[in-house]
Amino acid sequence: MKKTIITALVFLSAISLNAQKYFTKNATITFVSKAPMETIEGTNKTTTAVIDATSGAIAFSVVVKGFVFDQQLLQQHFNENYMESDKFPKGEFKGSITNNAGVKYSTDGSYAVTVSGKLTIHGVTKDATSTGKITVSGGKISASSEFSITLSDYNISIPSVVKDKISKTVKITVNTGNMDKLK
Amino acid sequence: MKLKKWHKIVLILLLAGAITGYFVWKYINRPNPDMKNVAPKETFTMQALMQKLGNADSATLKKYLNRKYLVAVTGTVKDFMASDSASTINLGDSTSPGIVQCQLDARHNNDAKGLTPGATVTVKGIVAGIKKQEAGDAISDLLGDATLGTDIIMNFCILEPGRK
Repeated sequence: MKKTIITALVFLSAISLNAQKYFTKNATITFVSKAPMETIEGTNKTTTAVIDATSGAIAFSVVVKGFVFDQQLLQQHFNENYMESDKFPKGEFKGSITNNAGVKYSTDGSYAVTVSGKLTIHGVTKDATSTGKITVSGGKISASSEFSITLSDYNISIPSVVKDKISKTVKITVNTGNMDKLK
Repeated sequence: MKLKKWHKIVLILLLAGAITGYFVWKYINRPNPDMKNVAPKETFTMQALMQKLGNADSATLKKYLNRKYLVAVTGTVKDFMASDSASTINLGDSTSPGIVQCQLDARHNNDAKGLTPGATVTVKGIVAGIKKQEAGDAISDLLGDATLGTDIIMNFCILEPGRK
């Protein structure tokens, strides 16, 4: 009887561990545009990110107006002209870690991952694949990735008058920081 | 040495051009407005702001999602993410999973130095948006029946004096 109870407890705790989802509401997304005349950087520290450790499913959601720039005119143009954030208030990514089996969520370490899914920006959804890293440290997990997108792929047009100030391709960096276990 | 008349004209034009260029450059690169000494149009408790904007109609959202409409919100610090650039304060409590997320104005980042969870603070800033789970979106699909609640995002926030 005792053996059966212990086996059941071990089994249940294994299921509970495997079904674990992690989340944060304070992932940071930075985008950098490096053009001949100017480097522009916008940061959003209020991105929601969720990772399902069992399946490797991963999702991000960001409020576009949450990006902050140093200059007022950039802030305005980003929202009104390029991202049309009143019309398309949200950006999101929905996908999975293709090599999730290689990530040991209960063992400290840094794991190289490939993430593949659908990226929606400016109301346009495209397939996207990127490499990244999942770090497990003292029971906390965090994820990071860096990739580039071509603005025209997402129907973001740059007026010719500022074409030397904004690059056609922008680099996007995602860093979740420490994620909490979803209870 | 006396300057010829056309030399003077060219000099004046160059000077006018340089002055105009300087002001155009200043205008283009002007920083975001500093709200430190600006009075908020409205003041809310965190719960009242969540209630007001959580299920707001488009007319209400239009009023508040306005870069010129400064609001202040008082609440309990749930998390404080300190950063050398701009720190972030999450206001929240145990009654709801939803929070108010305030991205501080980097120029006043030091005002929040030493802030700890549990403190009651008032933060003023610009409402940037509502982060809400909706059926079919990426987060809802992944969470299933679980919910992370509705969050209010605020930018260019400034911590008002008098934390408790």
